[in-house]
Amino acid sequence: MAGMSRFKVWFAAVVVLTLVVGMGALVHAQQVVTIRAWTVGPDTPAFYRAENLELAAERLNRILEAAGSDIRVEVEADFWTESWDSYRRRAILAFESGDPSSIPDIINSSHLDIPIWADAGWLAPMDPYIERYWDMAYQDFFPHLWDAVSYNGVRWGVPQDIEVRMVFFRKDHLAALGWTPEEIEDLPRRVRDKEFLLDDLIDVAKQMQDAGLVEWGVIHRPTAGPDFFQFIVAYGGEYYDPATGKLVLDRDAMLETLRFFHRLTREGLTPEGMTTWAWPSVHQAIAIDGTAGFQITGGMWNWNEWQRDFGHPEEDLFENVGFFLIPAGRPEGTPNQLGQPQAYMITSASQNKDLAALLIMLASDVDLNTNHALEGAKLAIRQSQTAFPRFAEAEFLSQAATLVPDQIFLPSHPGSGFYSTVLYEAIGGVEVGMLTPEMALQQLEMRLRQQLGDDLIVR
Amino acid sequence: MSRKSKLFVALLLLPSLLITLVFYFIPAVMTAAMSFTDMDYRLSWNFIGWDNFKRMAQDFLLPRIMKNTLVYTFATLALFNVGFSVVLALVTSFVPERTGRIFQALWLLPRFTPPIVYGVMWMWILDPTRNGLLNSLVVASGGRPVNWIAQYPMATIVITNGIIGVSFGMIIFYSAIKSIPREFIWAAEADGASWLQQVRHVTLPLIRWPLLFVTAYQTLSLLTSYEYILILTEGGPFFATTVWSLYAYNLAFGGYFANYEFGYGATLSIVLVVLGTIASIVYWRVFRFREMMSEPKIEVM
Repeated sequence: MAGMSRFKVWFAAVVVLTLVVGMGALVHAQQVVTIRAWTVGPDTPAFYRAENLELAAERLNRILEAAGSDIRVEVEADFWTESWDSYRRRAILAFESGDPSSIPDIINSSHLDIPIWADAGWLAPMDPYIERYWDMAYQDFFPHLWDAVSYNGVRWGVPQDIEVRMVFFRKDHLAALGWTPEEIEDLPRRVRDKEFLLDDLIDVAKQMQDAGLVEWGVIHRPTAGPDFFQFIVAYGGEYYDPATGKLVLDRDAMLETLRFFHRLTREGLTPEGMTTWAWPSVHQAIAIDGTAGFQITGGMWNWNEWQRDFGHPEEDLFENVGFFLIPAGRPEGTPNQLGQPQAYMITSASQNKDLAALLIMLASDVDLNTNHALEGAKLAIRQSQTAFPRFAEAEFLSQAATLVPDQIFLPSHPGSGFYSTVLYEAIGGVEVGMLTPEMALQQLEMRLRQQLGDDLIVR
Repeated sequence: MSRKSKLFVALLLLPSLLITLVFYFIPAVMTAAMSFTDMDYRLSWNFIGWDNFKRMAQDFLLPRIMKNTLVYTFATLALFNVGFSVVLALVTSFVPERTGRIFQALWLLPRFTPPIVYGVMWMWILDPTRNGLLNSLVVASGGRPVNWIAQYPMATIVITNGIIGVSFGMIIFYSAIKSIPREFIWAAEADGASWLQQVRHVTLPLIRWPLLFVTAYQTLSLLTSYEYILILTEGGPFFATTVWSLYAYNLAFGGYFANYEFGYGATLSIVLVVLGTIASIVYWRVFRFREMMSEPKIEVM
C-alpha cells in the first residue's frame, strides 16, 4: 500500500513536471518562417542574387533575436542558370497554378517582366514597402531605376542591379593591323563622337579577316534578347512613343538594321547560322582564343563569366579586349547601349509579404549589393555604393560606368517581349538567307500588327 | 451475359474509363472551349466566337508550318520509323541472335536517354563551330566548319528524331519476323527463293499488320511530337523547323518573354486533334484494322 502511494506521488510529480516544461516550451517556441525565393542568372557569376537574400536573413534574425522576438526567418533561395525562357516558363506555370505552396514569396527577374506579371495579378505592389523603408534604404537609389520598375504608376519591384551592354573588340588584332596604342585607346571616344560608325566596324572586321587574324569578323549573341533594339537607335530610329505609351515600328531604321545583319553574313563576316551557336562558343571566340574580332551584343557581366567559367585571367582581358558603345549606323543615328535592370518582387500569393519586404530591404544593403556587383560585374544601384571602397576600387566597373550616360531601356510595355522575339527571329531569317531584309521587314510588320493591334504605331 | 457479369465488366472498365475521362476527354473539351477565347496571361475566359479560326486563315506563317509538319512527319516515318526499322529488324533477325541482340540494344540506347541529354548531345555533334564533333572532323580533313542546323534544318530534325523513333518499329517488326513459322522460309528456300525474294514475298506480307499498326501509331505520334525540335533548333532558323504542335506550344510558352497566347494556341491544338482523328479514321478504314482485330475465321491450332 505504501509502495503504491509512493508510485502515485512520483507519477503525479512527473505529470506536473511534463506539463510545466511543455507549457513553457510552447510559450517560448520559436516560430520559423520559411521565405522561398526564386532568382536567376542565367550567367553563373550572378549567384549573389540568391545568396544576398540568405545573408539578409542572417541579419534579420540577429535583429529579431535582439528584439526578443520569437520569429526566425529561413530563406530557401533558388538560383536558376539554365536560360531566361525556361526560367520564365517555370514562373508562369507556378503562378498559373495559383497554389501558394508552388509560388515563391520573392521572385527576381528583369524589369521587363513587370507589365505582364503585374497585369496578371501575380505581383504585390511594392509602393507601401518602399515608402516604409524609404529613409532607411531606398532614398539613395538612382531615380531612373525606379522608373524601370514602375508600371501604371505603381512600383512593382525593388531594383536589384543595372548593367551596361557594349561592343567587345580585340585590341591585339587592331594592333596587328597597325593601330597604335593611342589609336586603340581613343576608339571608344570616336564611337561616342560618331567618328566611327557601324560601316567602319565592318571595314575593320573585314581587314582582320583578310589578314587571317580571325575566323569571323563579327559575332553576336545566339539567343533572343533586348540587345537588338540598340541597332534601331543606332540607325536613328525609335521603338517606343512615350507620349502615347505605344510601341513603334520605325520602318526605315528597322530596314537599315536588317540590312546591316544581312550584309554581315553576305560578306562572310558573321556565320549564317549565328543564331544556332551556343553561348560558350561565342565567349570562346571573342575572349578566350580571339577567333572573332567584334562581339556586337556584349554585356558587362560577360567579363566575369570569362574569368569564372573559362578561368581566363583578368590581366589578359584588360590587355586584349576593349569595349565601346554600339556605334551609330549613320550620322543621324545615336551611339547607345541598353540596360535591363533586374528587380526583386514580392508575389501576390506570398503569405509573408512583410518579412519578404524586410529581406529585400536588407539584401539591398550597400555591402551586399557590392558583393553582387563585384562577382557579377554589375553597376551600382545606389549613390552611396559608388563611394563604397570595395566598389570604387573595381577597375572594370569604373570603366564600364563611363557608358552609363548613353543608356537606353526597353519600355515597360506588355508587348516588349513579343517585339524582342520577332525582331530576333527576323534577324535570324535574314542571316540564314531565308528572307531578304525587305521581306523580313514586311513579315515583322505583319506579325507586330497582328499581335499588338492598336498598341503599335508604324512610321 | 447476365446482369452480374455486365456489372463486373463495367467495374473492370471503370478505371480506364475514368483515366480517359480525366486525362483526355476533359482536357480536350477545355482546349476546345479555350480555342474560342482570347485567353492570355490574364487567364480570363473571354469568348470571341470564331475570331481565332479567322486569324488562322490570315496567319501567313501557317502554310509554311503545315508544309514543315507534313515533311517532318512523313519523311521521318518513311525513312526511319517504318523504313529503317524494317531494315534493322530484318538484319537483326538474319544475323546470329546474340549479335542481333547487341545491335538492338545499341539502337535502344537513345530511347533510354532523357530527351534533354539526347538533345544536348546532338547540339554538341552539330555545333557550327570547330568545337562540334562533326565539324572537328571536317576541319581535321581540311574543310571549313559547316553550319549543319542552319543549312540543313529539316534534315537535322528528321535524322535526330528518326534515330530515336526507329527502335519502336524495330522491336515490333523483329518479334513479328521471329514469329513467322520457319516452315514458310524453308519452303521458299526449297523453291529457290533468294533472301530478297523471301523478304519481298514471305516476310513482308506476313508482317503486314504490325507494319500498318506502326505506321498509324507513329504518324499520330510524330504529328504531336516536338520536344527534340524544341531542344535542338527551337523551331528555327526562322520557322524552318517549326511544326504545328511546336507552333502551338510557342504561342503559349515560347519566345524570350513567353508569348502567353493561350487562346490562339488552343485553336491550333484543337485543329491538330481534329487532324489526328481524321488520320486515325482514314487508317482504320484504309488499313482495315477491324479485320485485324476480328477473330480469325479458322482456328489454326
